[in-house]
Amino acid sequence: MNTIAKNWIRVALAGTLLLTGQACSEEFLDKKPQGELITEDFFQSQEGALKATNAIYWQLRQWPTHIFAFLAVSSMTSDDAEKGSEPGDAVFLNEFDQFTVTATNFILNDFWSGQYLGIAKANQVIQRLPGIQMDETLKARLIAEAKVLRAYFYFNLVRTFGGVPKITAIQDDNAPAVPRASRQEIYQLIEQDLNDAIAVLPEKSAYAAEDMGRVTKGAAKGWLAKVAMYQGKWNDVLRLTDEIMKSGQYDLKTPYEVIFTEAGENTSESVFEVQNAALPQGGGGSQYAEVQSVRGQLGWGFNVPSEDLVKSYEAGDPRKAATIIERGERMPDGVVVLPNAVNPYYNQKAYVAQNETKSPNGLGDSNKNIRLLRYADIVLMNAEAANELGQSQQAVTSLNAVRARARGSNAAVLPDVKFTSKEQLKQAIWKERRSELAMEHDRFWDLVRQGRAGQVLRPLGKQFVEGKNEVMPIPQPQIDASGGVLTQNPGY
Amino acid sequence: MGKRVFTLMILLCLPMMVWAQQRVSGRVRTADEPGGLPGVSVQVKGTTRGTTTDPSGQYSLEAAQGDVLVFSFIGLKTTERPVTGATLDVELESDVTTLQEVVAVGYGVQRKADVTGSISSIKAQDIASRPVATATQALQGKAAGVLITTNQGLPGAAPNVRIRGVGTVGNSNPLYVVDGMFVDDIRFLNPADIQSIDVLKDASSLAIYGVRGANGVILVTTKSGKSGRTSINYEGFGGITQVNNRIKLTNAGEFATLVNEVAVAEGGQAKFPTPGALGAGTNWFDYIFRNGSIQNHQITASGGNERVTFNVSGSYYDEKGIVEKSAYNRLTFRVNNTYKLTGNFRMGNNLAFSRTQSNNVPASIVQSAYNADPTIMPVGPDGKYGFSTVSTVANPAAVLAYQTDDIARSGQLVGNIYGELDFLKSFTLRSSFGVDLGLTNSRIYLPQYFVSSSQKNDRSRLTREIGLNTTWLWENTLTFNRTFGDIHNVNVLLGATSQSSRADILRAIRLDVPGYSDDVKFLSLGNAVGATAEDNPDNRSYQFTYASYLFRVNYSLMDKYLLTVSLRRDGSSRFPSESRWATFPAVGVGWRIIDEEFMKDVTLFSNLKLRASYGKLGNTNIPNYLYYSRISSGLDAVFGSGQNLQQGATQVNTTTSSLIWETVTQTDIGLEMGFLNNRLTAEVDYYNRKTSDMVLNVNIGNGRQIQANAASAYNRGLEFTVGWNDNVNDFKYGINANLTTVKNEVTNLGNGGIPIIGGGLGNGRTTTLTDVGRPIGAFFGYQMAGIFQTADEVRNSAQPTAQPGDIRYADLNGRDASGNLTGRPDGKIDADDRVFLGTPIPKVFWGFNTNFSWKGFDLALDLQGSHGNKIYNGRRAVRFGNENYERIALERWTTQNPSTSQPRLTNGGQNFEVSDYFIEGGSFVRIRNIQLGYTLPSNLLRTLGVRSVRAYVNALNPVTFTNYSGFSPEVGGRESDALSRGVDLDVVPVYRTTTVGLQIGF
Repeated sequence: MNTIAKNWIRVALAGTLLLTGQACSEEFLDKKPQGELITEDFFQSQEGALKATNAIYWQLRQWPTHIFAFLAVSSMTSDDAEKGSEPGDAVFLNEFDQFTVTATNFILNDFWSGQYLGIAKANQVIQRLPGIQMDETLKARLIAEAKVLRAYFYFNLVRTFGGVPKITAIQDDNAPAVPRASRQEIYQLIEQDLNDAIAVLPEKSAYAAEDMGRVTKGAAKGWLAKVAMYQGKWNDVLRLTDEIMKSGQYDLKTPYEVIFTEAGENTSESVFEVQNAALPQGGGGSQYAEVQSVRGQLGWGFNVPSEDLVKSYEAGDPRKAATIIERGERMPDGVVVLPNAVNPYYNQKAYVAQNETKSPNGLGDSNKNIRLLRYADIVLMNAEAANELGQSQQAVTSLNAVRARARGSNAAVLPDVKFTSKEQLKQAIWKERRSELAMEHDRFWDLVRQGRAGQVLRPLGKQFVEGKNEVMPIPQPQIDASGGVLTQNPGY
Repeated sequence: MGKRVFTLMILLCLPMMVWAQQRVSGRVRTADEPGGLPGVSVQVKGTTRGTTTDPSGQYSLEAAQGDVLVFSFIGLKTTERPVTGATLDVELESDVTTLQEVVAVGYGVQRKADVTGSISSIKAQDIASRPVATATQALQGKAAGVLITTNQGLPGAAPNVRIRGVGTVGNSNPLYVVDGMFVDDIRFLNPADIQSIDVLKDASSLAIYGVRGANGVILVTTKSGKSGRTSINYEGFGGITQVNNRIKLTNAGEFATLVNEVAVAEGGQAKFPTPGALGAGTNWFDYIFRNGSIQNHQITASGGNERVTFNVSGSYYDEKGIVEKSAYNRLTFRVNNTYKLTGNFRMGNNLAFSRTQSNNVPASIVQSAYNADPTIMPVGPDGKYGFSTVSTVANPAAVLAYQTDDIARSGQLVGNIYGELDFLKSFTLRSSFGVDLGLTNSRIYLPQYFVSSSQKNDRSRLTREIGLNTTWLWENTLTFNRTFGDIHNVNVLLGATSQSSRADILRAIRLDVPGYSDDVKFLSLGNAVGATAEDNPDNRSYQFTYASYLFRVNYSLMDKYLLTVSLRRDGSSRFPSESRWATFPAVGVGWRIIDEEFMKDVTLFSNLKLRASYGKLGNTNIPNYLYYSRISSGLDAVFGSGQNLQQGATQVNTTTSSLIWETVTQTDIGLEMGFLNNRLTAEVDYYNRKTSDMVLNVNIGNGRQIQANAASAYNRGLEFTVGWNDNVNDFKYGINANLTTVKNEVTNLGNGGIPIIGGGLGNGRTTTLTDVGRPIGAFFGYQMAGIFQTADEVRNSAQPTAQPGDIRYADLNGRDASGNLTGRPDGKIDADDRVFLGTPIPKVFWGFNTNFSWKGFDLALDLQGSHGNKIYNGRRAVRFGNENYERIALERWTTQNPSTSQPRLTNGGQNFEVSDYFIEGGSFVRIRNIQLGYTLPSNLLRTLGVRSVRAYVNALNPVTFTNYSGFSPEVGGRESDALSRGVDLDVVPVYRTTTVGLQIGF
């Protein structure tokens, strides 16, 4: 072989090496995520369906959904509570206490995101589960659970902001921003979701023991009743609360002072509560208790009962002691609250006793279930609806049932209320709601619903302006993200 | 190189022919190699006869009287001498003309004169003996267009490198190519192993790096051996590191007074009954800062013969940082070899191993010391750590004691083995296989401790993490190089490469691990019960691959008209199959005007070249698998009477299936000039880099964030480089200056033009907004319009809830009835009143580098400056409650002191809105480095068997001139996030390093 031929063979070899020696096939460039599930594989099985539903419940115990922002929006705004803690700590919360909140307050944006992140998780379930081949009964139940939770998140949004974007499907990233729907449209969506769920969901007692804590038919009806009450649909309120009261699932037998202890979790009093557990491996709790516990001793000391709340109780009402921690108080577990604690009062409904189970992460991962709907609330709604509809006998019966449980064994306090007029009874029921449901994230929205928020709050120095402060401003980052599609609420 | 190889080939392949001529011998020297320079090609002009000098610089060949010998060696002036006798000694001069200078271009080298692109070259001597852990730190101010900013003044920390502006809101880090290996970071390299650094800046030079070229490429060439005498060099230096400047804070008495004032104003009780009795209290900076130390030792052996060359080095670097307990050390070994196996086949290897250990401290410790209560003692008389009763700021002394058992170790092997075959005269086939193997092993141990209810850890906690990174890169190239008819020179490169990278991480946590000694800090001794479910254990992995084809042609016509066309086609696993492949072409043209006939009589210029380039580059510095819609795990819920955890998971990150690489389209026009026989050189470049399809992390509302190809931006400006190098008798000097201007502007934001919020302060406030028509990460907030002096002023203002002493913000904008902005005041301060408040990107930056030598003395002085950028003083802007104050707080507004510039003191509230009150100018001029050395005369040393000895002193960052009130105006930003650049928070400052060193050559 001559040299030239040899050399050309080399060129040919070189070319071959260049073109085929490289792993240039598409297979070489296909690299799937490692150690991560991808959507198309995940939403194929019953297991995926269940996990995706569980993830909505996870959202319920998260910081933006139910901790700091929730306390600010639902509680510090009311006459029941103040910001608390050191005056200089988290001053941005004062804006909720004082009604000086502006659109740039990031807590407000947390609240918005905390609800919509839950809605997005619910939409995953509602939209994707129909395509999964699985047990149809379970599938229907999981979708119904997702609908109730979606309704709950929207209820929080509509109470806080008025009309908000109505998002009922998985939102495509490139989809244009959704403008605000009207308050009415959001209420319609909530009612639709809850009615759909009521038709499917089992009663509380029909769930297996390991599923305790999932939303029930009773919870869906309870929220639907509340949603109806906020819209003045008293016939619906009465019908739904009657159904719940006749369902045999709930009663008022749990002693009031037990309801908010670990022993009081998931009793016959409970209609829906966010399940938190102090697990040995941690990760099952929330910060709900820590942020409200005694400052400088147990926790951060935010969201403290106001002087006005303390004074509002009827003489001898045992619920006062069960709701309010005072300086130097000896708690049932033997802990003595600092006599010189920073704040005069703390929220006992968020108290975690020393003998309750503890997570390795401490109170920041505590077992305290967040009570979102109690049977007493159902009964009081029943009373108010009956009164509005002229059925004063039933109204008085329901109201006095709540008072009787609160009274306990001490017959000398909280006498039965007698009917003298519809207005008198309405005032009594409203007052009862405050005493019974104090510090339970109901009061501010209740005052707005009753149309007397300004009248009640202004004498306490809160700068509530009618026509403005019934709702919060739309968070600026949300307006920015929408490119101005979202409009601001009036007055902000 | 080519000539030498050619000569050798002739020697090896042709039978030696001997004529009846006399033997001529002699020695070839240079100023640097007075003993003789090996490997110099010696050739009888006009013949094929020749030889090379031996290891002692001697040569011997047959030549006739009157023949002319040609001596040539790369980097030295080719010299011709007539044969006049039996001996002919020659001293060669170094070739200072830039025309002969060779620069590294991707996949090859090129004469600088032939380059059509914009490349900045930094030689070893420009950064020699600088007391830095990584070479990039020494590059500050050395190259036009290259802005290097220290992110954290911690030992071993990598600086932030930006070439020609900030190209993206994502990762703008350049690609590093070390002897052909692609790496993200060159901290594994001992800076002294570097021969040269070439920064590729324009499209013509970068397109050969295709989808990874958009942020610029830094080519690092390590030292290789030269055939000839073996040389052994030792260099060692040691010294101290110190904080340049400490922020002045209020002392205990002043602090207590201010805290009382705030407490009373808030309607509370004074916290300190007798502030006056507290005295100076604790200066926390004394407890966290120290004089650090630095030392480095290295030894290099280098040499070889015609067939084999070697360069072997070892080094040890050790630095104790300015923050207590921070430390970094590194051991490196390097073996670079070349082997000439036959006349036309060569092999070689570049292999580096490094081992590092980093003792980390929380970067927030400086902020803790800044915030900590000066009235408490670090450790009380009872031996317990003090804690504040007025604030929750951690005791920094306790942080140092408990939170600094954080050690990261790594071992890394980076290198390649290659073979090169020449055939058919003009072809060279090269195949190179490289690896980058990294093993990381870290331990974080947090003991159980209790200082106060806000500074405690109930159970000890051990975190162990082990990572294995594996990359291989196989590159095959074929080059063709031939000159046709002395007019057309053609150089063609064809290639195909593939790369595969994989990382595996295993991480686990246990509680209750005993901590009395390092010997027992192991997971197996801990408690499996108690570590959180999410952490226990965490096992992750990722992999990505690239396949690429290369093409480049360099054509020069009559050595005057230059053309470079390059193209790279890349496929990347980071993108879905339908948009996986991309082609990145570029073209560059050059005109060496100096070589035109009409320039013959123009004596002003000794060099004149015009060049221009245009092309497209890509950036794939984005996370893997973004196109997969993934499921987030660990979203567990609690159910059941036993309250058990049930697994939860769902899709949280929505899909971004259409995501593709970012594209940079760059135009460059450059003019190179030389005057006075190239003693004065100048280079001017205009560049315009346009980024499109920029990948953004976009807030799309409702708590969702996505990454999308959303935005476009440009960086454009001018680069000037001027050099003057001359000598007057024994006095040699060089002055090299460079200056760069940058105009950075976002031209488009996708997603409906939603501006990007960034620069979070950690207190819920964000400082930057990236919007169309503004620089990336521009500051955005309210304008301060003064201080409210009276309640009347407040009542009549746009801020009715303010109090006297509060900041008055400018009411600049409002909305009409239909919600449109009016541009007019509306009597209230709200989000619409926020405006742009400046850019964190310097508009102009420069370097001024000088060197002088006289007899044995040498001096190098480097200055650097940056102008037009702003800093957000995040330290002052974040308060949660009763943190310590800077002394300026003593000038606060009070009724007795109606300040018009400093507001009353509060622990939060409206005075802490993002505003220009917290913005300061970030311009500075810094003496970056001074080095003074003395080289002992060589005749003195020869008797000792030592070839050279040089001693020097060096000061890095000795002096800074700035108006900025913080520690240092060099603020890279948190985690080098482009949107928080210039936000001074949790930053450990740049420090001063003073060293003495010794270099000995044998």
